[in-house]
Amino acid sequence: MGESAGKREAQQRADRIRAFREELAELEREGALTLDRAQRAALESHLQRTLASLTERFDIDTTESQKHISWGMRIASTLGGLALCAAVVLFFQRFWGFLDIPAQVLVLVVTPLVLLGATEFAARRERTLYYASLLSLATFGAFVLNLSVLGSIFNLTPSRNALLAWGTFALLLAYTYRLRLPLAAGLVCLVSYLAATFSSWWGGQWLSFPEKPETFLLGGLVLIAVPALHFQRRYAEFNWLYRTFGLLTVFLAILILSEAGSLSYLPIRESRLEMMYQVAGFAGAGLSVWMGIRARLAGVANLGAAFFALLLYLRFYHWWWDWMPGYVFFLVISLVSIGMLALFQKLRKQTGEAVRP
Amino acid sequence: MRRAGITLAAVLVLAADAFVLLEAAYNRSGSPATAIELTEWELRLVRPQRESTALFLELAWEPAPGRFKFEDGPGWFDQAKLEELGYDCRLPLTDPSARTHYRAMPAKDAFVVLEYNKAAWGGGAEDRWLWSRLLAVDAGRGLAPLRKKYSDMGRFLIIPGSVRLIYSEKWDANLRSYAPGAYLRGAVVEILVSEISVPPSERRVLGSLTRTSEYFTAPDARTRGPRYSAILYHGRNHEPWIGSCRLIAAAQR
Repeated sequence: MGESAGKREAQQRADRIRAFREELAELEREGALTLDRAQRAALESHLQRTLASLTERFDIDTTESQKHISWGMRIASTLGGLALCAAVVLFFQRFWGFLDIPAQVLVLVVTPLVLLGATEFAARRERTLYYASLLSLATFGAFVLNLSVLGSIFNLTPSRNALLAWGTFALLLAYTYRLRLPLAAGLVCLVSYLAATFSSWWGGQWLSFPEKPETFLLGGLVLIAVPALHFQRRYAEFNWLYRTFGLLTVFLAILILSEAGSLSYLPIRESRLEMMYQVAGFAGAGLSVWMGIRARLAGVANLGAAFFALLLYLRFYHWWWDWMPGYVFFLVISLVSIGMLALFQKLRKQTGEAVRP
Repeated sequence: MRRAGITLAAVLVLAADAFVLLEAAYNRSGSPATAIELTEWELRLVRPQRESTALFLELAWEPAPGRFKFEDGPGWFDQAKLEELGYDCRLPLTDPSARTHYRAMPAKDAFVVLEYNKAAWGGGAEDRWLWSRLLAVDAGRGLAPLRKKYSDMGRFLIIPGSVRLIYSEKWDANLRSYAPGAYLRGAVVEILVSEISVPPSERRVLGSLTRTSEYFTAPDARTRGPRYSAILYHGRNHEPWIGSCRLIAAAQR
């Protein structure tokens, strides 16, 4: 079991112990269960020992307030990382003009390597990895600065391969230290790289890839599939990020194409294309809800439901807004929402029955 | 795993940098493919940000994006040229979906031919005095045929850029609709490396000057003309660099 997977399970156990203590206190208040003094002391001693051992090994949160503080630390480390990136970029821009070309190149090459060393140092000193996360983001920023400024100094033609290098670098950081921030940055780069490659294959200029949403579809589908890979089982804590990012990419591309079919590569009439993507959108959202419920992935089910609702409301807008009085339109939207609420309630009940022994 | 990850990340940084430096060295090896002296009108001084000490010269060419008028017609960049560059123009312009179909076509890579015509816009009206004397005169997919056709290296720059199909039509404000007679034309929308860094050796020449966009607003800019010239080289990869810069003395203008 990897250290991070161990930490995740340790945190889950600590959460269960906290819930167990609360429930035990409730049961005793209601008179449903009474432990004698010896049993209570033995249980409390066991729970304390377990929690102390988990904290010692994995530095987990054992109370609700600790959890809140941890969230604050995560946010602070993200903001700190972004600010450090900006500081590195602006510092270089401020002094660029005073350096000759060899000195510029040296600074650009050395900065990401020094920050990489700092990330490793922080990771060795601190198990929670907040500082390592902050520094990893700055390391990634320094590498982005490195290639883009070297390209500027020597006036090189922009290349999509830079996106591949940045994405690979970010993934190396993410998997080495099990950090989500560089993983998110890496996924953005790699999905963009795939989209730029498709744009180029279709005969367009690679920089114009954001104009064609279809170029993002394959990248999004690949991300959704990654958690199923055998290798990924050791990094299960990354799976939700892959799924969420993949689904968002696919849904967003479909949403844009369902509204503006002219942005498609396919040689099909615009109105027919839009209808095709609307159907694909509803089917994809439905599939996502079904898969989410079946595999107990709340994020997948919620994202699918939200996308389904968005597509539905957009259809209503196109069908009815022009000829229906405003108050009737919103009344219909409200009735549909109530209908969806009832449907989800029924679905929730059925899911509850399914898991009941 | 951790040691391997850090090593790989460091190797990736060094390998990517080595690749970039080798590319740059290859581009500048041997004698330059083109060398042309241009003035401030064609190479405009820009500073990226308020705090930045970096200095760039931005290549300007005509017709600049947004300069076209419907009445000008497609000129040399007509439908036949667009098809030659790989655009599929088979859908008739009378088709109801023609506008959205053609407007959604993405930009394409092409070699662009820019002709340096010092006498262009001479004595022109309006703001033409500040227009670039580099004119886009042709575009193609292959370099060799263009090199053969435009062999004067001191007059023609053949460099990578991107072109776009434009569905051109005229809006009739009275009828509040588009007038008939739409046509397809192309436009050079970008030169792939249009912002060229000024090497440290030339900063002493240009460092004290204000940005060209600010200079254009000066009352005497029109009579004084450009403040500097620079030699622009292009190498084996068609990537540019600035050679030497010199200030143009007032008496010479």
